[in-house]
Amino acid sequence: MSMSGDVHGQNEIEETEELCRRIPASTGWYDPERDDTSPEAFQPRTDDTGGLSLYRRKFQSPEDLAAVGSSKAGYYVAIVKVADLQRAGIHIRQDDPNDCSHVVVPELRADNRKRDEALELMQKLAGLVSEVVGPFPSASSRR
Amino acid sequence: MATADLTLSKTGRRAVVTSAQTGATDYIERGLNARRKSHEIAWRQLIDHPLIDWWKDPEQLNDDGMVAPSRERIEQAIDIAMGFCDSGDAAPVRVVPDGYGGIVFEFRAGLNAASLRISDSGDVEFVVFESDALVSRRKVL
Repeated sequence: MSMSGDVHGQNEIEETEELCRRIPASTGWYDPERDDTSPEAFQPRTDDTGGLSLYRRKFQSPEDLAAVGSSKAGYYVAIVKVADLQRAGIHIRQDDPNDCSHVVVPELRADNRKRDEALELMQKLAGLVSEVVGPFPSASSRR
Repeated sequence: MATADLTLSKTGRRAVVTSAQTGATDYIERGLNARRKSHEIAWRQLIDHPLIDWWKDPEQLNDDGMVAPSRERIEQAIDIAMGFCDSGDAAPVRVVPDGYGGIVFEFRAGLNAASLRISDSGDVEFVVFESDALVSRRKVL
């Protein structure tokens, strides 16, 4: 698996890093009683055209990630370790060379979300969640 | 005398076996009924919450750019859940929206998982995973 950083390699994604995925609390995709995450939490959204969005924890805390979202009920944030993605053969890459905090899973996109491969990747990603933190308020839920 | 003893003994053994079989059958029957009852309770809980809650207010799922399932889709999910419930089938671990107007029932047994996916258009698919690998996917409606 390749882990692409920015064009100069200055922000190469390290194996020891953690990545965050926002889960709207209103969906039930995370069950805090059973500490269990639904594969639906990793279904690409309509704006995930270049790949499923994940954020590097070293650049954006789960609290900050939740704060910039628009969910009325706030967010849980699922944490996935880069090393676990590597072991599972899941490729990630930086989305925008000018934004080192944002990475994507290019094989999981809005346009292929119904394919077998996409459903399987969603299932795998849900199984790789190492921790879920929150819920944290969003800008909308604070109003 | 020895033959008579043997006959009695055989009869006795048969009675014991018959009694044990009846007892075992009753025991298994009671176990199955209890399991069926617990499945039924779990299904009914899922129908009450979240499905009927969603039906009362589908707008609650219009959040963060996601599309809420329509009342028609929620009613379809309730019908499916009631069918499973009446059949005594094991309940899913959860029912969730898919974010695109559909609803997903998620089942799990050890390392294996399955999902019954109702799309926004009402198509229903059953997808089976073994250790995260998709092994079967079929349209059921």
